[in-house]
Amino acid sequence: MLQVEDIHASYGAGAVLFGVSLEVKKDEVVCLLGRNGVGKSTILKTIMNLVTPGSGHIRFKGEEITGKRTDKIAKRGLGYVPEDRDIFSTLTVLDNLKMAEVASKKPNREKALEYFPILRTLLDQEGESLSGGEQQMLAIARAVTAGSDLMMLDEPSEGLAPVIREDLKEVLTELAKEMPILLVEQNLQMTLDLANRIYIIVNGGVAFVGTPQEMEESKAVEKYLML
Amino acid sequence: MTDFLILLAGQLMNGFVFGMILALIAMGLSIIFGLMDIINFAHGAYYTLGAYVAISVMGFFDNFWVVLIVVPAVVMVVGFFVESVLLRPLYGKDPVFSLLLSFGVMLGIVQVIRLVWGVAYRPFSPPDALSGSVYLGFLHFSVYRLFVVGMCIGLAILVWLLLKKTSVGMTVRAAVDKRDMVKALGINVSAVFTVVFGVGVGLAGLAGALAAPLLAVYPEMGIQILVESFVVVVIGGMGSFKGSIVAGIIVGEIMALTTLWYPEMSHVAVYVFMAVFLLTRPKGLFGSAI
Repeated sequence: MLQVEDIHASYGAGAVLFGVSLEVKKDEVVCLLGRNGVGKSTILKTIMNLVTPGSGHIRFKGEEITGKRTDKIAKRGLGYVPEDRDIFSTLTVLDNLKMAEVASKKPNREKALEYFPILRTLLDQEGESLSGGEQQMLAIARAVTAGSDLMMLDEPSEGLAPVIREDLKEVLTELAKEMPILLVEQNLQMTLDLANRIYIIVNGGVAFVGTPQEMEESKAVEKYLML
Repeated sequence: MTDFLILLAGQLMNGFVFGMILALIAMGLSIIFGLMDIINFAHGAYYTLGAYVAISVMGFFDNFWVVLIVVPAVVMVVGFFVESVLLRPLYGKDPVFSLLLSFGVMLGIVQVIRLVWGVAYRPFSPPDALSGSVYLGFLHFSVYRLFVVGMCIGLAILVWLLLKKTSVGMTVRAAVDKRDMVKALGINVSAVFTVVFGVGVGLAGLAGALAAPLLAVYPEMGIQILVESFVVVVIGGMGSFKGSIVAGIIVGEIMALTTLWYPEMSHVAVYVFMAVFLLTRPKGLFGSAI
């Protein structure tokens, strides 16, 4: 469904990605693992063209989206939940969800509220008044409301309490039944529980690809992720 | 009521009128800065253009109400052109480029005004229906000035409703906050920029038309008021809609009251106030949120 081929990207003069290739198939949860600063978030931003790729190809649902306008990429059904959640702080929870409906061809607010029923009680609250966990729920609910065909989430469990992290894992498990997911995650256990396939990113390139079982057998975690 | 109190009340009301015109200009300046990070040096030129277009439209139709519709529309179209053709290629580049471009646009508009309408001061009388004065119980006050206050308050409410109660306004507020996230939700932010820029400069044009019967109309009339409008935006808080209105009134009153006691200091007093105010509240009255 999503193919990334040999993309290079940089922030100004500083190159970050060096020929990354990956694929997300239908009904698949793909996780990107790696230490801080290796380029995991940049991969998602480059797919969304929030960082312009220097070279390479990105295809979504068979169509070339490399370098297309971010709004056009999103309209094709690519949902994105950034690392810092990017909740609209001056808008209410309801308006944050409505923002996802503005350009959507198939908005699905009810589905989003089914995943996160607690948001129904917070609809009139402003984004900035929410806790970190609530903001994360809203960020994912907003992407679900947009009616995405594939969801990309950047470290959704970061900074969450263990109980909320477990709830989030359950929601992502349910979400994975509806759409493929490309997940950037630091939490190894969550990755092992959710992923069908794992890419380990090292210094802006792919160092390992395989199933969670293959990753454990190959000792890739010790090799690439341990300090 | 003593003569002094009547004089003071009259001057306070004049300050309020000027403050509301400043607020109308600063509103657009502030929203454009808040959304697009552009310090629009040309904003005063759009105000001037509004005044001159008002003179021509009045000469052609002889109807002030037509002026109030045509002027913001014409200035808005100029704004759409400047944003979509000149400014858009500079997005994502060093902000100095857009700053310099807006300076160039200001010089360009002023030169076009000089060529089309000449360099001399141009008179512009208020319409008959709004001329004369009305007795407010303690002083006579110009009907036209009261009309300007009413118009400015009405426009401020209209812009506030547009920002707070419509999906366009919601999108603008979201884009001010998190521009990339708005794009990632499938919304064309460039189109939002064009609309906001057009509306912002349209408000400046309308302010020029409203101010034309009160202040002198000449090609450089926008330069002084641009500087005062920047002071309003800074005191109100960069990007704050509410701040523009409150600070506009404050600056208008400071100028009016200083004129009463020490006319030579009326412009300087505003800058002194801004400097002292920023020492105690560097973010301005209402921070940076719209």
